[in-house]
Amino acid sequence: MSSLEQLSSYAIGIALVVSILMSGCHRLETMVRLFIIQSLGLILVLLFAGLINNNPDIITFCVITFLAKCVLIPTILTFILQKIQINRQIETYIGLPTSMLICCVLTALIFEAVPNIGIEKEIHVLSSGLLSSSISMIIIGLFIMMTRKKAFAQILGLYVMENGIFALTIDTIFEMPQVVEMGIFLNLLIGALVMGVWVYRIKQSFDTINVEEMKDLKT
Amino acid sequence: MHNKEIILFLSMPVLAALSSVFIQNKKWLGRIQSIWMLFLFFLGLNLIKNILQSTNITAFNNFLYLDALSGLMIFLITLVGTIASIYSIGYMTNEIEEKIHNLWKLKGYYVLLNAFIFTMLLTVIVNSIGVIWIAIELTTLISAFLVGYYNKEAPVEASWKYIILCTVGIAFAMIGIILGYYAVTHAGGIQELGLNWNYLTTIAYKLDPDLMKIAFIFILIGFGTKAGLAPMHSWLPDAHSEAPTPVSALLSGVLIKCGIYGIIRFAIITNLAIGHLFTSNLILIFGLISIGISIPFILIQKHIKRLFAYSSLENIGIIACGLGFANPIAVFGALFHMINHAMVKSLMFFTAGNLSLKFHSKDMEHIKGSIQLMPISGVILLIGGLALAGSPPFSMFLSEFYILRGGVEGNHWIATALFVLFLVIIFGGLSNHLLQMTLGEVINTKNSPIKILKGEVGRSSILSLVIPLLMVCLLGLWIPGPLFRLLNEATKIITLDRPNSYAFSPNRIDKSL
Repeated sequence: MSSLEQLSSYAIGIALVVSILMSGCHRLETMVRLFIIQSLGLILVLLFAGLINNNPDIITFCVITFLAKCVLIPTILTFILQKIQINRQIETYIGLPTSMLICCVLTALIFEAVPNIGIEKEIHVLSSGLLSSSISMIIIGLFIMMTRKKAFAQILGLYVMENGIFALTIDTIFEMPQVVEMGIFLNLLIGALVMGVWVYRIKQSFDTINVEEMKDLKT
Repeated sequence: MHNKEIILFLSMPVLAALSSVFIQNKKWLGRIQSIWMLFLFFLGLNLIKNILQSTNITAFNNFLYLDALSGLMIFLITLVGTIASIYSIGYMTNEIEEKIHNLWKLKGYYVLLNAFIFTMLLTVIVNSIGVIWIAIELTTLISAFLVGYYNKEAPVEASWKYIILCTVGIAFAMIGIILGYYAVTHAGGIQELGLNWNYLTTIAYKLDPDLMKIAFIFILIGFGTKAGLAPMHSWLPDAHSEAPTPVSALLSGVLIKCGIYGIIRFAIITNLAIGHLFTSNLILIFGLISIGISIPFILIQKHIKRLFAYSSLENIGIIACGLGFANPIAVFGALFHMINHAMVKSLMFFTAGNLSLKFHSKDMEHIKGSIQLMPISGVILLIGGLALAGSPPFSMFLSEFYILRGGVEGNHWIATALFVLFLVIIFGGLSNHLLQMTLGEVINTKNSPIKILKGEVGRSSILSLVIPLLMVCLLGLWIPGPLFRLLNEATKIITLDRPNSYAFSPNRIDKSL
């Protein structure tokens, strides 16, 4: 069983490193691909955790997650990217290497801080590494949303954050009641569609998807 | 046993959406929608009657759970939905005449409106907190299309801001729910039932206090974003002012209260686990900040719909203060204020819609002397404005007074003093704007190309003002018996039937400090 746990921590590591890479990535297509890899890593973590706990439903659950996060959402996102055909110029408030560095520092701080607070002694989580990683992913997702100027990159930041919450779910409660779990996936899919439509409309109205151009509404 | 009734009730918006797809006649499209909404309203009343008879209803294997609090929200949603659909008839006819949109866009509007009402109804009748989260997220995704209905630059910007802020906010609420569920599994609760609200109330005393505190903070930030509590409110004025007028009334009248509903549901569980001081103090602080932040924007505002949007921020702050004072009379006031605010705000948005159609402007500097040009709308604006500012004998005054009395009785001296101070400033600001608009001098239109003629906009636009106007005037003097009972029962659910605010044993209160 210990080899499974080891594999699981590799998968966690992949998901975390990928999210740092996403914060320093300048092509939107690559960001979508990295999102797929990140989701795959988390699904592996879920699968190993299920195998360790001898959970019978784990295969179905993994397949549904795979369909939602690695197939449907990326397909929708790539479709939108083709539709809007934007320029590939990097538009961020902070330079890409700097933002990667900031994300690394943030992650290191979280990994340092979480064991010190002593959460994992108090509450029984799956592994403290996964807890720190999930918090890091949530923070990195927020960071991407705040520093990117392109509306589309903000969607990806949101999904990184969502993945972080997904990791937190695996770590603490393993899985939500089934109705809720299915509803969340449905919401994610509808969310991808709806936000895609709005990115398209922004492109049509403003001829760009740079959110800095949107400044009509003040006070 | 109540399954059939609930299915019938929920099928109304679905049928209404379907019928709007098939009807080709522009005139009848809106009228039939209003008829469906009236049916929905009366079925809702019937459901509320059943709730009052048997304190709570569960249906579909515990998937749905309705108590007096849900009943109150059902009343609010169906009532504002009905009024908004009646107003839509005149408003949308006018839009079609001005070639702003065509039949298909109109059908899209009605389908989205019904879907929006359906998701809001779902929010207030489901049992599991997880499903409440899902339904609230769905309301965001659907109403974003209604906010950006005009597809011009400003509405697109408003709805993008709305989607992104509310989705991020609600993601935080998800963290709160995960932590809450973790506390349940940790306390040895049944996993499959672990998020059902009625189950949570039975095992709440076993939940880990620290975990519940952290979870509640996340929930307050998450659902607070949806409720428009400051400082997470920045989507609210944009979305309210850029949406079509009937949608503004729905957003301000009920949607933000659905966020408050989510907070209340989780707060009850947290109160059972750690005593009520922690949650009520947090809600109170957010409420006071919301009222405070709205003041400067109300004072300097030029755009008529943004004025009312910021006033929504103020009122959601008042409701939060009432919940934060946490004794029965203040909570009763807060719930009563929800109804009053929905009514007054629908009235004001509709009148503002009529005025801006008439004056071809949303800038309050151009809208002056409406009482001379539009005798009925002008008088209604005056009455509604006084009611909104909170002057007696209208219902808003009564509910604000209840909240104030609750604050004094609970010995929240600083908070009560701030509350009164803020309300007085806002009273001044609002009445200044509204008196200018109603009684001010009509701007000379001789030199301008558009001639403003005397007269009203349309019949349905006046008709839809009657119901909220009656409610605003009547509820200030007399609350109907069943409504009073409903409010009372809902108050009991929130205050956990405490006879006064210190019914918890002393060591529990110490723990929460």
